[in-house]
Amino acid sequence: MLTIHYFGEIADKTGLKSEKLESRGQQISLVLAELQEKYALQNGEFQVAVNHQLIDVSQDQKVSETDEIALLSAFAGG
Amino acid sequence: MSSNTRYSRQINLPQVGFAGQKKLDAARVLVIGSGGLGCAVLPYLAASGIGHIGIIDGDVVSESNLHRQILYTTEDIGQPKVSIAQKKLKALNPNIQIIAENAYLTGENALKTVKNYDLIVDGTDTIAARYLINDACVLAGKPFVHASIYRFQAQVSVFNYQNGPTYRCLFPSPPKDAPSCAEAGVLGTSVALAGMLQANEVMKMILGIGEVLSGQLLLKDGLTNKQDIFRFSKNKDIQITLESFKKEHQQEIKRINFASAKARSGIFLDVRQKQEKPAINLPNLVQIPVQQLRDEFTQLPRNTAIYIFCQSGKRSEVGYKLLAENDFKNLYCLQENAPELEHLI
Repeated sequence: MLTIHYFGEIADKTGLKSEKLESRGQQISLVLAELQEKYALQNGEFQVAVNHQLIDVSQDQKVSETDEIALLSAFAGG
Repeated sequence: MSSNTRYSRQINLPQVGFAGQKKLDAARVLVIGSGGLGCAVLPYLAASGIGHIGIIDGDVVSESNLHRQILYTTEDIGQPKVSIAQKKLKALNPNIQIIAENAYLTGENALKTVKNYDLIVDGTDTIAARYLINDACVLAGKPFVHASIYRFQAQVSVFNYQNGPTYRCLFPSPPKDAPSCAEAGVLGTSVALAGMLQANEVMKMILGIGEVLSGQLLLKDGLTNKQDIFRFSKNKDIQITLESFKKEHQQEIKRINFASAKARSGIFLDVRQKQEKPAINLPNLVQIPVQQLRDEFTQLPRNTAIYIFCQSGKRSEVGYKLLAENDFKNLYCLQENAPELEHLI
């Protein structure tokens, strides 16, 4: 199972801090497309980390079953 | 430097010593924004004996600040934040220099302001200000310590440290709308935790000890006590030049005359104090004094034009920039102000 963590406003939109997803060793773009559709997330409103490393989503990497994905966005407050 | 008794407990640390205390004394740190983050960071920087501390903020103390901006008390309401902060910090440590600038950081003053310091602390509360600080620091070659809050969560990182990754490497493009503390709500303790982490990075960078949060985003959740560190690298495709800086941060103010504004849809925004004369009466008028605009802009509509005026035009420009920073798009400063408007209505 893939673990997905959500932070800040993204967590408000998903209504979850984290969840597990069935994984078939797919490309990250497929995982993200599924999440974007499920939670109506816009392109460019979040950054993606795999195993705590921010990634360039245009370099469509494969994710394995034990990977932890995080979706995070910029905060404004101070 | 004053008597070492004041600093003896930190000098006793083998990682600090007299040499470290000298480094603190020689350091020049600028804190941009003396709100929630600034109020957490500043007392510790001052108390540690950092020799030169600059504070820049154009805001005044309001009652809704007091639950988290602990440098201010009830009697300070209405006073410029930087003047009060300077007074309190001077009382805390009279041996250091504190330079207070009662102004907001803008595209016009950012470069010359950051140039005078070794290290910058970002204590602002809008996304636009964070890009402005980033770009000014990159152009001036200064590292800066970032913190930002969303409700109970905080992000902390050090950008542009020894030519390391910048804010734009982490967040290449601004989100459409990220809410401020005024909009999203915040506990004083959340913002203080973030400020403490910032102050701790400042100490480490000056003293040259420990590992600096460069290329790392620390994300702390105050509700779960969970802490994550995300790593990111420098994006060499992102170039900031003086030209791109001017284009993005020194935008011209759009102006319109009253007759044209009246013929179009939109609202008029009077940013004067309520009691100022002449009183202007228009059907679609909202009055928010410029000092309260930061806390109250949420009540303004985003789907229509806003025509801003005051007594002379000066405060309307401040209000315009503040709203533009908060992603209001359809803004105009009225060419006429209250004394002229009185005769046109």
